[in-house]
Order: sequence, then C-alpha cells, then structure tokens
Amino acid sequence: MLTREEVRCVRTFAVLAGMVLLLSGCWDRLEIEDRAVILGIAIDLAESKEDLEEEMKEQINHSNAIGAPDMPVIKISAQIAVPGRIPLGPGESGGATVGEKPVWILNAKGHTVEEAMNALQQELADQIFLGHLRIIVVSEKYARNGLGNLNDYMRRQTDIRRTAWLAVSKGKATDIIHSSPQLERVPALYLLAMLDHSVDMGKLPNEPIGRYWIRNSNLGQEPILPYLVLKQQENVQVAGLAVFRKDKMVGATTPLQIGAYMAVNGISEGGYSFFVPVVNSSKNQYVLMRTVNRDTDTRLVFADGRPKIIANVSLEGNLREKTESDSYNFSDSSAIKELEKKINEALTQEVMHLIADTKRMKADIFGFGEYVRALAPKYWKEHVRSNSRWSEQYHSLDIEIHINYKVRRVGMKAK
Amino acid sequence: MRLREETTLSGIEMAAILISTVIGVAILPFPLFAVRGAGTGAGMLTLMAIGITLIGLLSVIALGLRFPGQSIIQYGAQIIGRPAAAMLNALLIVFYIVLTASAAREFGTVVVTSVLKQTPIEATVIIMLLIAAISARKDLRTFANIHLFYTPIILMPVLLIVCLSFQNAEPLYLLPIFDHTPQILSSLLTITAMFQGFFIITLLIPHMRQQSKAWVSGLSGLGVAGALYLLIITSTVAVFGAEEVKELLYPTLELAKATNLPANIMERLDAAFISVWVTAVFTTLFSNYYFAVHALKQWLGTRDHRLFVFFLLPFLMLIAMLPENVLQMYEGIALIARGGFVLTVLCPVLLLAIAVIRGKRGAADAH
Amino acid sequence: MSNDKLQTSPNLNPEQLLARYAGESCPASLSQLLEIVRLIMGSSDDLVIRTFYIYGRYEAVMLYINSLVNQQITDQQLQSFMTLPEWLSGTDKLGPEALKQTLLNKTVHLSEITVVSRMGDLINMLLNGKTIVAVEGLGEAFKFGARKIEQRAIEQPQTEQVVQGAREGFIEQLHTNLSLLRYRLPTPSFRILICEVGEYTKTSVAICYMEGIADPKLVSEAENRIRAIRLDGVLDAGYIEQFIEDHHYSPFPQVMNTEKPDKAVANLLEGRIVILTDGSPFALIIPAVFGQFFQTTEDYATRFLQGSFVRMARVIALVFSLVFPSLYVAIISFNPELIPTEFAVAVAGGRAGVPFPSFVEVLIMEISMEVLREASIRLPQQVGGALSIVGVLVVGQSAVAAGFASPITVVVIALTTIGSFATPAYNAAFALRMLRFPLILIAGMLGVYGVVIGLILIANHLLTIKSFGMPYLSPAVPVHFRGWRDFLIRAPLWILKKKPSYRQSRRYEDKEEGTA
Repeated sequence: MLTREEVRCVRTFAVLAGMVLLLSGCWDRLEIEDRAVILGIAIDLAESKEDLEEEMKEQINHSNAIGAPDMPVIKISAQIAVPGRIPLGPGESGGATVGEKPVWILNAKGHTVEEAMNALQQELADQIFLGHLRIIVVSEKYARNGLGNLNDYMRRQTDIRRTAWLAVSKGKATDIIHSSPQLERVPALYLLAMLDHSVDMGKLPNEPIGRYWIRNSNLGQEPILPYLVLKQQENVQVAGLAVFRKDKMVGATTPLQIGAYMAVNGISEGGYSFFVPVVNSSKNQYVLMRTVNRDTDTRLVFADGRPKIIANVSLEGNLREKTESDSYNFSDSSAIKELEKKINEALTQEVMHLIADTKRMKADIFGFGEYVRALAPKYWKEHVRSNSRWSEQYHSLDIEIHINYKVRRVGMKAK
Repeated sequence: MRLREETTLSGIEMAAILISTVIGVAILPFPLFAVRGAGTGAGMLTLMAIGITLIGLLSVIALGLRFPGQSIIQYGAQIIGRPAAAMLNALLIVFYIVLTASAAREFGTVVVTSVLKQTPIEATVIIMLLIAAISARKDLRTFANIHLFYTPIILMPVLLIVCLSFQNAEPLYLLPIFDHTPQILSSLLTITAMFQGFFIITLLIPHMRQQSKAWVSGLSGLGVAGALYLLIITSTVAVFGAEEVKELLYPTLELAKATNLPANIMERLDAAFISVWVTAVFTTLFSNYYFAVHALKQWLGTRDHRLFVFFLLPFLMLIAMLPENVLQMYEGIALIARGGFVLTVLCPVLLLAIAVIRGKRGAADAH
Repeated sequence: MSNDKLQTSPNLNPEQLLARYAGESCPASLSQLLEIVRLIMGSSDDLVIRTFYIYGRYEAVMLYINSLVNQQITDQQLQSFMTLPEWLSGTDKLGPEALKQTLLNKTVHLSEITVVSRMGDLINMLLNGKTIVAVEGLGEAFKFGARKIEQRAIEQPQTEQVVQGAREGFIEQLHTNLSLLRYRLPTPSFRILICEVGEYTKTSVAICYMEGIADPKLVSEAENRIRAIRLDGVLDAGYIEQFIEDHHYSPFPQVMNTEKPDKAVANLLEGRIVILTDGSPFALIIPAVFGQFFQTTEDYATRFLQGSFVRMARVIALVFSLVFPSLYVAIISFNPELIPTEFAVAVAGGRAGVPFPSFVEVLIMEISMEVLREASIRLPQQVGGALSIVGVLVVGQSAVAAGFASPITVVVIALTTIGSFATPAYNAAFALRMLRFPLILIAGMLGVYGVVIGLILIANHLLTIKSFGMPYLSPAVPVHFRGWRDFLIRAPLWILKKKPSYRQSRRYEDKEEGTA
C-alpha cells in the first residue's frame, strides 16, 4: 500500500507526463509570421472564357470525373501583408524603405471562391489567414451574377469578421485593390479607413458584410453595399449604393441618394449637403444646406386592406453657404421658416425619386417589408410569406413621406 | 483537534450552483434551436421552457423538504417501493453519465469547429473531462466554492456582450412576439433540456443550512439563469433577425463576433466569449459529474464518492466519442433532452403526487 | 554519584550525557559538580571556571561561557560575592542554608538571581548565557543573567519598504522583537506563549495573540503544530512555516511573513496569530489568505481613496504578471485576429526572422529574466545596479538586434516582470511567477482555450486550499460581504471600526486527529 505522499507523487508525475504528451501536439499553433495575412480581396469575372480555360489548366483544378459546376470563371486578387515592410509603431525605425510595397498582390482563378482560394494557396508558402480580411471588393459584373457562392464561402469560414466590408466596384475590382493611395501605406487599410470614416461622417450607412447577410436573410428587406469608383488620382470614390435583390445586384444609386436613403431610414449623423433655391428670388440664387441629424418615425397603416407606409422624417441641418454674399439675408426666424418649407419640398421630391428607383428595381432596401412582417403578421402570412412575393408587392406599395426639416445654425456669419 | 469549516450550504451558494450549472454548453447553439422552433417567438418559447422547468424545480424542492436530509436517490424507495426506485435510480445515474458525456462532446465539437481546427477532438474532450473529474473528487465545500466563484465570472462577460450588442439591435426584428413553426413542440423540449441542470438541487437540499431557504435560492437561481437565456435570445434575435439566426450554427458566438468593444481595444469578442463559455461548460460538467458520482455513492451506500470518479472516466470518454459528426451529435442530444424531460420534470411531479396521496413523509431529523 | 558511573560514560555523546544527568540534583561537593560539568561540556575553551572564596572563607566556583557573557557584570558580581560585609562578624561560620539566605537577601545586589538545583537546568542555563555560582556543600547553585549577545541595530526592513508608515523592522533577537510588539500593545490582552523547537538549537518560538480576539482553537492548533515539529535546528522562521502550513505541495504561501512590527500588530488586532522565531527577523502570520498578500499596512495609513486605488493597481499588476505572457503567446500563435489589423501586421513584421515559435521565445526570455533577477539579488548592491542596467538595456536590445526575440516580446516580458514586483509579498509574487511557466506552455499548446484551462486549474486549486481552516479565497469565496470592505478596496476606517471583519465567516470544529 502506498502512502498518501507517494500517491500524490505518482499523480503529479502522471499529470506532468500527460502534459509532455500534449506538448507534442501543438496542433493548431501557427505563428503570426507564418500566416499569409490577407487584408483585402478583389473578385472579378474573368473576361473571356476561352483564354481562361487555357490558364486554368496551369493551376490546380478541381474538375474531376464527376465534373465541375458550370459557373463563370472568377479571378481573385488577394492583398497579402508582407511582414517587415509595415513599420512597427509610429516611428521611422525598422520600417520599409520608400518604394518597397508593403503588400503583395496575388491572383488566382477558379469556378468558385474556394477553388480560387485553393489555387492561391497552392502558389503560396504560408497558410492563408482570413482573420484580418477587412475588405472584399467585387466587380459590378460579378455582383450582378450573384453573390450566393461568395457569401456561402464567407459564412462557413470561422475567421471572417462580420465587420469586414463588402463593396461593389464599378469597373474592375482588381484595379481598386491595386490602387496605391498616398495617405496610407497599405491600400486595403486605406479603403477600410475611407469606408469607416464615411460612416462616421454620415456619408454611408454602416452596412458591412454581417449586415449584408442579415438583410439578405430577412424576408422583407434587401441588402445594399457601398458602390465604389476608381478615380484618376489612384483614389476611390463612394459613388452610391449598390442595390441587391436576392444576392444579385440590380442597380446602383447616385452618391446624393445615399443621403436620401439614410434620411428615410433615420440613420443619424447626417453628412450630405444639397442646394435649395432661395425663396422669392428670380435670379439664380441658392443656399447650400448640410444635414447633421436624422430621425425617422415609420408607421404602417392599412388602407383598403392594403399596407401603406408613412414615414415621418425629421431632419436637422445647418446653412453652409450662399451663392452670393449679400443678396439674401437671414436675420429673423420667419426667413428660416420660409427656407424650411422650400427644403421640405425639395427633399420630398428627392426621396420619392429614390423610392421610385428602388420600386423599379423591386428591391425594398428600406426594409418596409420588415414593418409589415413584424407589425401585421396576419397579413404577412396570408399575402406575402416569401421574399420574392414581397418584392412584387413592394413594386406597388403605397409610401408616404413627410419631411420636416429644421434649420438649426447658420454659422459664424450674422446675416 | 483539527480546524474544520462549515460543511453546510448557504442560500447564495445554492443559487450560484443552480445558475452556473444551468448556464452551460448549450448557450451557443440555443438561439438557433429556439428560432427554428418558433421564429421571432423564440423569446416566448424560452419563457415557456422556463415555466416547465419551474414545475420540475418546485416539485423537487417540495420533495426535498418533505424528506429532509434525503435526496431523490434515497427517498425514491420510500415513495414507490424498492424495485421501482432501483429502476429510477439506475435510469437517473445512466442519464447523468450520458448527459456529462454529451456535454463534453458538444464542447469538444464547438472548440474543434470554431477555435482549434486541427486539434483532435479527443484531446479537448479528455482535458475537459479530466478537469471535471479532478474537481469531482473534492468535497461539498469545494464544490460550492467553485460554483460561487465562477458564477459572476460567467454572468458578467455575457451580460457585457449582450449590453454592447444592443447598440446594433433592431427592435423590429423581435416582432411578432408570438410565432410558431411546425417543430415548436420538439424545440420546446430541447430548450427545456437546457435548464435540466437544476436537478442537482435534489442532492444539495439535505446539506442546506436552512432548508426552508431552498425555495428562495431555487427560484432565484433559476430566475437569474433564465433571465440570462432570455437576454441572449432577445439580443441575438434583435441583432440578427430570426431568418439570419436560422443560418447560424452558433448564433451566440456570432453575436460576440459582431460586437466590438468601444475604442477598438479588442476588435472582436468571440475569443473572450469562448473563454467564458469554457468556464461555463466546466461548471456544468462538474455538476453533472458530481451528481453522477454522488448518486452512485448514495445508491450503493458506499462511504466515499472518490472511488467512482476515475472509474467513470473511460465510460464517459467512450460515450462522448460515439457520434460521428455534428449533426448526429445534435440528434443524439435532442434524444437525451426528451429523456431528461421525463426524468427531471415528469418524475418529480409524479413522485410528489404519489407521496402526497400515500401520505409518505421523511423523518424530521433523518440524516 | 559513583565514580564507575562517570567512567562508563565516554561512549555517550554530550546530548545523551546531558539527558542522563538532567534529572539529578547538583552534588554538594564542588569537585564532583565540576567533574560532571567537564564531562558534559568537554573541553570548550570558552567555558570559564573560576574558583574563589565567598567572603574569603567559603569555597565556591563561578561558571560561565565567556562568549555569551558581559564580563563587566561578572566582575562586579564576583566582587560582591568576595567582599566580606562589615556587619558580618569575622569569625562566624555560617551553615550552607544561612549562607544562601545571606547571599540572596543581603549581599548580592542583582534583581534577577535564582537558585537551580538540577544538573540539567544548570547546564542549560550555562549554555544560554547565564552565570552560575556554586558553593561547596550547598547542593544548589545560584544563577544570574549577565548575558550579552551582539545584535544589530533596529533598521528599516529591506523587504518591505514603505512611503508612509513605521520604519522599524524586527531584528534577530526574540526579546527585542517582543519588546517592539509589547510597546505597541500595552494591554493585558496581548499574550505571548513561548515554545522551544529544535533538538540542538533549542530555538525559542513565541506565539503571540490577542486574548479575546483570536480564536482560542486557532491558538491551540498553532501551538500543537509547533510543538509537533521534530527538527535538529531551526535557523529561520521559514523552517517553522514549512512545518505548520496546510498544503505543502501548493505553490501559494499559506503563511504570511513580515519584518514590520506595525504589520504584526495590525494582524494581531485582526485576530490573527503572530509567530516570532529567535534568530530570525521575520514574523509569521497565520492564517493567511490570498487577499492579504496584496495588502500593506500603508493602505491603512493613507487616505482610503488612495489606499483603495493602490490596492486595485496591485491586483491588476498581479493578474497581469500571471496571464500576460501566456495571452501574448495564445494571440500571436493561435488567434491573431483578436488584435487590431495594423498592429497584427506590425507584430508579424517584428517576429519575422525570429527562429523560434513564440512560446519558446517567451519561455527563453522569461527564464533569462528570472536568472537576471536572481543574479541581481545575490550580488552586492553596487554591482547589482550595474548588472540590472546591463541586463535590461543591453541584453534586451541586442536580443532584438540579433533576431533572437521580437521587440514586442521584450516589451511583454518587461511589463510582466515589473508587474510581478508590484505584489508586496515576495512569496506570493513568486507563486504567480512560477505558475506563469505552465501557463505559457499550455498557451503554446491550446491557445486561448489552454490559457482558460490553466486559469481554471489554478482557480480550482485556490478554491480548495485553506490556511488554518480559513478558505484561501475568503472573503470572496465563501462570500462574506462584510469582509469585502477590506478586500479589493479599503473602505474608510470608520466603516472598518471592527477590524476582525471576516473572522466570523468560519467556524472551527473539533476533531481528534494529528496534524501535519
């Protein structure tokens, strides 16, 4: 019989032995520098199928006896951070010398996203790591073809952030990823900063990939994504919202319509400006207003057994400039009142225009369908039930917009 | 002479044991089950499950007070006679063994799918079972200490994540509050199963300092745990919407992923959440293991429970490794949930009814 | 006392001889007495045997060990023994008893002089620095204290520096230490119980407690554990600590030690027991729970906001020093998605070119940090300073330059090490420093999940152990809300009026059982 102490000793050794055995594992350890940290991805449709087939043969190909999906070939460009080229900390020391690109852009092709990623991995020493994937840009062509495959792939990945941005580019997505802006060393991070700051400044609704998925799943709502355009100076412009219906892009808005969209949905931190003609002035005189605050109260009513949406949009804004300095004075509040009336008219028109556009696309980006589903479940169950039927109904949905604009400040000038 | 401390349980400790036992491995997939069953009515479904659990809890407490100093293993024989009680006890013990094993397996599966993708599932499961086993050898005092210590550690971060996530919430997604799908009944049973950890209370009532406090601690324990489940379901549905939740295998984990701390201290909270969840799994496993071992001890009338701890380990491991994939595992768990409903809710209610009808009652100072 | 008995003795060692003669009464014959003393003491050269005549008439001998005795006092006393007082007639012959009374009551002017009658006592007194005077034919001996042992001055303790608070520290002599306590506690409630421990050293160990505040069962438990110690020599309080603690295999200290009398008194007032060991400047305090190790007396001396703030800072430093390196390893090699993208990319750059996996890198750096720390403790102070500069600046810098470690690792290690020094108790900080290593290993195996598993194991251990019946994490677990006023924060003193706030949280049960 062993004594207590001996038993303890044996036990300790058993535990230690177990630890040593486990140590031989380290199954999942993969040092950060051994990972190919992908910061951004661009997805394009390959131009012509014939010369692609040729290229596809050169890389790993998943087609087998059972066959491959008959999908258009896509081209993926991945931006990989190159360790050591991005300096540690704000100082200059230890950084890259000017001229060395801090990222490395690789291309791969495939029928599906996973196939292309596998092809990419085949050409890469380090294991691909998507935990820091911050931005995915897809070309309009690809988006119009449908994002179903991309989203399925992304959802299955455990590392993907729900806060990563998914954006649509007007031209080739690769060009956007290739652009080298001057403000930030890493292009993907510049794009990210641009989108994030746009959200902060009220110029873009916060709709990252996670929100896209949610909107796409919801029956009474359609997703939107930022719509990017590459400009001459290697810079990128947020050129509106890409409108989707059932994972497929169906259209895009203008940049100013983003403001209208945000007004209808009452997304605060307003950031868009617009011209309003000056009251009682025959001359070509305008003031420029900038919205700073938005709040919307959306109601659902039934008229003749059909749903009707009434949105009361309250906006607050400041006067930013006049076209001519002294032609028109704001010295008392009645002048402001007049101006507000004018603004309400102008904005209602603008918003109705956007609604008409989306109705044409049959894409309920405002989520009015969610109001119907949530507040009138009986009607929903009887008449709608599915996403596609709601799209049809949205086409003829009765929508009433009341805009109530308040001018709060006129700036440092007294008149 | 030797210095010895309190061996009885206080009301707070009792409630803490209930809370940390009930909050377990299931908080990750739980919104998925609830939404699958009831769509936006998931919150209501959860409330119903809590109500059903409450019936079981109240019967168990009433039984415990009717037979002071005894657990269900001991008073069963008095109520329904030896042979039937032996059956019941055997079923209970087997149920708890399977429950422990399935919780360990579910834990391993989540870890292997979401965090440690290359680590063999056997390693994660055996580590968890070992920790639970080592702790299950300890006495009641340590058992209470461990639960009391971990309860706030489990509650706080979950509350934090839920609160932070409310900034992304869309109240519209919660409506309509009443909703149902064809699978609502089976979902209700599955959700009720998440609360069946409360059953450990039958083992603990005899050790309470003031047994009459069992009502208060039982109710507050279930109340807090239930409130946490309700908060989780509300925030996941409010953030994602019912349709999106149906697409997510572990909605609660996604919730943590979608939430980030102000000022970007941590960009995503899923790893923080996983660590808290590991703790919650540990306390649940610990309770179940403890129950199995002590029920065995009481049933066989041995003096020391430590005997059984490492004896059970290989069986637990074996049962845990039975399912071949995630889907099969969840089907198995749903099956266990039905059994659990019968054993932890129906049985106590029946026992109580029989005890009242036959006028059975324990000796006042039995121990 | 026969001669053959003496002759058979040489085979026995001194201890056995002493034990043999311990019970015998002093022989009346001086020569016999001296023979026994010489037999036991052997030929120690510091034993002084001075034969003289009391009042010039009665044969007597003075015995003392000159390395322990103040020569001046013995000289004076020798004079008071030898001088014939004027009132005593020159011719009277006093009997042994009358002579004893005369000496004790009339001629020898010493407050502390007593009579010993057993040989064992005589020898022990002699060894403890007493001076013995034996008179022919008396059968008893006088002993008086003329002990003089070199001792250092009372200084500020090196291990516990304070900004505000008493600067006195304990020294090696038990009596000085007791006086430091006694003068702070002029109350009859302050009790001292002295036991002797150590076969050869016979070290006095004083158990100090407050009657009426300390749990009497705790006192008797402490006494029992101390009396049960069987050891040749007790050279430091640490020897006692290792025998009385509950869990020998635990890395966490279950006995607190201090060099500061004010801290000892504060703990006495909270119902704890202070154990002083002769020859050691450290006082042991029992029971000790985890919370005490990041509290200092200064917390109470400063204003409560300050005290609470500093305490929280210490707790954070403590947690930091335990988990920071392992979290770093877990994040770098398992979950790099947790840190901000810019930082992650930069870290990857810093680590590029380091040949080891991050947990090996961290382990190497941690071990070299421990080596540096140990080296700078052992070195003389002047050299130590230079070494730490060399260590921190040069080694750290060149480790990075040589591609041996990444700059962020160096930062992590430096922060951790500083954090571990913020814990006031050296032994508690050591426990956490030690546990850092298994945590780093398990983090290298299983990432964040491993860190959590490690922390659960540590927490479970803390929840299991006790110090003298006191749960180690009390008052946090088991909860005792009153105790929380003086746990992570330090509530204002007027709220803490009753200091022993969480003594009530435990109850002691009798159980007949031997102790460790």
